Amino acid sequence: MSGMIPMTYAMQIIGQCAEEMVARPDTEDILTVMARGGSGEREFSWVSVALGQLDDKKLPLLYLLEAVFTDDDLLDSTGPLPEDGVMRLIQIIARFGNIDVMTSIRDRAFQEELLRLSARALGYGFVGEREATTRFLLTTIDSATAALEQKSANYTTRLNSAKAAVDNKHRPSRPYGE
Amino acid sequence: MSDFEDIDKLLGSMGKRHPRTLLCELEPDFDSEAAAKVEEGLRAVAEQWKHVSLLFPAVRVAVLAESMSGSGLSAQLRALPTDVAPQPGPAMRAAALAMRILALPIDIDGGPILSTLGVRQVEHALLAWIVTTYKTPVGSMSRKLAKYTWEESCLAPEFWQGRIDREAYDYEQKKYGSS
Repeated sequence: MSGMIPMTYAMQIIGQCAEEMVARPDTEDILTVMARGGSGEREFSWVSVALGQLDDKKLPLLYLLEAVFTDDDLLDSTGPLPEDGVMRLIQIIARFGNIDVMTSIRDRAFQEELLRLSARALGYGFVGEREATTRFLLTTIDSATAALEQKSANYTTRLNSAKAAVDNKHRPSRPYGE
Repeated sequence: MSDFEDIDKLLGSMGKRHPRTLLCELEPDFDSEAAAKVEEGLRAVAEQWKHVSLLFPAVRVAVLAESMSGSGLSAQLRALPTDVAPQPGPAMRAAALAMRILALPIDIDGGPILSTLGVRQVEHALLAWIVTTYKTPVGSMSRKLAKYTWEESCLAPEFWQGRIDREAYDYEQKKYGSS
């Protein structure tokens, strides 16, 4: 079944890779794992543009994801990565706020969120989960978008409150008891 | 009259052509199959971040920035030396720029700011973000104008309170005069 991730196995791999990462990887380490996944010239071209846009502190996340998604057994399930896969992963990572990367990557909940967001960005589904569950989880855990949605909803409320305050300011005062 | 006539002229000339077409026009050697795949990738990112409505504007301004900025922007977009990775061409640089725009943490599709801005205003704002971020003027958009345009568009949530204050003020002026 191509394009599907065995979630249990993927979580094992990401946990194992996170534990094994003891030093910050550099650009060449990332290119090495990319090459393992059979990246073509075009993908390297994407990366040469994109890596410079990514905060150095977040490079371990990219290395981790590349290590997971180029795992031989995982590739058997998913098939080759999309040609612009690394760019998509970079965009995911860029959206994470100021996190302590080396601590976060050892957090299982963070690993799962990272895995799910990345898998969605790469266009993969999950084996062993109901589609509705997956969709629900993906929608719920996407904290960056969820935060924007919340702010977007708050905007209208705050604007209405500001207008109500203007109306209150101009309301004629009345003596008590009137 | 727009402050950015040269920019508007070029954006207007792009019409509603698809991203893949614009990329191929930017770099004639860029093959159409590659362009289609790049467009597919850009669409995936746009869907991911609820910015589907920004797909075409993002590609238009990225292509425009790549073609109008001279060497400044191109130099900044080339991150790695050629012995590490092949040098990306203009189409890939523009696509990478568009991809970055599509992942910006700004108002989402159907949100209160994006839904009230016209396409051209959105394009000016996105171009302003490029100019500000890469510190490189594009055509008539200087860095100073870009800073103003970006803040004035209020696309980023940090400017939303300013917009609320402004709208409340306008509301007061309209309803109660200058009292």
